[in-house]
Amino acid sequence: MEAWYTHIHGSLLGQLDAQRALYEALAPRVLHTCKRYFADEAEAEDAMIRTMTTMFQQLPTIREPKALPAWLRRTAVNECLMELRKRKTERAELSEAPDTGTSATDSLHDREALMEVLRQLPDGYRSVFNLYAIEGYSHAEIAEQLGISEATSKSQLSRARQWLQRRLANFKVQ
Amino acid sequence: MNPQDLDKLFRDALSEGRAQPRPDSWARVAAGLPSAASNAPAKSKRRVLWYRYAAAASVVLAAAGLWRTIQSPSAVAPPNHAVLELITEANAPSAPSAAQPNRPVLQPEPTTVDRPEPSAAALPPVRTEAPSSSKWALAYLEPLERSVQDDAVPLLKRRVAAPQDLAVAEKPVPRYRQLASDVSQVWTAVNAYRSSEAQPQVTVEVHVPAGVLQRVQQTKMLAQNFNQSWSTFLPKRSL
Repeated sequence: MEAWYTHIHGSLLGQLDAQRALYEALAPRVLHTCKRYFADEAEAEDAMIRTMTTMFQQLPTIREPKALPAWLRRTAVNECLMELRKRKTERAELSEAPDTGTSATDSLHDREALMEVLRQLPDGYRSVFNLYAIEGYSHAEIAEQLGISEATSKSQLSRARQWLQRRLANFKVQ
Repeated sequence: MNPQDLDKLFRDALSEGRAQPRPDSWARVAAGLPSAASNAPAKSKRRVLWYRYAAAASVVLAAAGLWRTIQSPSAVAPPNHAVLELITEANAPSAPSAAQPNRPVLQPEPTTVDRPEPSAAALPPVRTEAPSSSKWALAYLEPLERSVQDDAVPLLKRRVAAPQDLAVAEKPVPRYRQLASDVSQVWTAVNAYRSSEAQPQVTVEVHVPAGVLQRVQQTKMLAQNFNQSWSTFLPKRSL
């Protein structure tokens, strides 16, 4: 049993120290998920805060504490997608994507490097790639979540892969 | 790189991970925390459940009461009730027959009690039946095999007499027995009314069902086909 389990009861009772302990245990996971959807660090932080606030509000209704991480992840993804929809992000063309490669490190398997590469993707590509490759959504689910057609989802995934492969090739050259 | 390999590379690296939030993030989260009474949803949920139990109990009680009402014979026949008497329209009180020949009484006459009122001479006798729940059955024409109804009196009238204290039936009588008993007392009621000269207090028209009239017509046609008079099917009585 992980340590954060023990803070749920105190959080339900409104104990501030227990709520803070629960936040400190779960917020890094949520922020990691949110950072995959936003290029801007502050936007990811805002999405994480909204997700954690929602969690504390909905905590009395959550019956199974073991399902809390999965619930948090889904909620975080939805928060990120809602924010992206709210901004009405235009689907950037491949040529518009920054291709600097300045933030890359020398190791492809470095998580931070891959995160930086992923966050350099245009918003539309990044959302589709995140949902399909990392979250495991189908194209039909992605189309429903983002309000686009399945064909658009497939084409954006293909372009995101092309963009990422080109970026990774640059890494190898470097 | 294969697209599947690319997906796997990012999935393995970024699916799970942690990122340290800024120190001031907790203050923003704490500002939006619910109050100590965060258990309010649980309370409201309990209250909703209580209402559900109350609603379910009400439904069960109502169903039990309805079932008891249906099963109890006293619901059909209250302690104080009126005796229904059937009269014929053709022999309305304006034309009471002086001579009452023997008419088929299909069931023995129940106990008869005169109503003690000042104008007792002008009022019809109040008939008190024996304890039986059949008295509350509606007037139905009995089968033609037993008592063929006169086609001149398709319209029946029913008089409601004063309520009498009657004993409650000891055990419920089946519905078909109630109907049969009332039908058999049609002529008893007619005789009782003809013996009186008073106007009915309350009259209720009862129309003969269309099916019965159709059966009467069919019987008449059958009799004509046999070259017989319709009157041969009538009981031996004079109107």
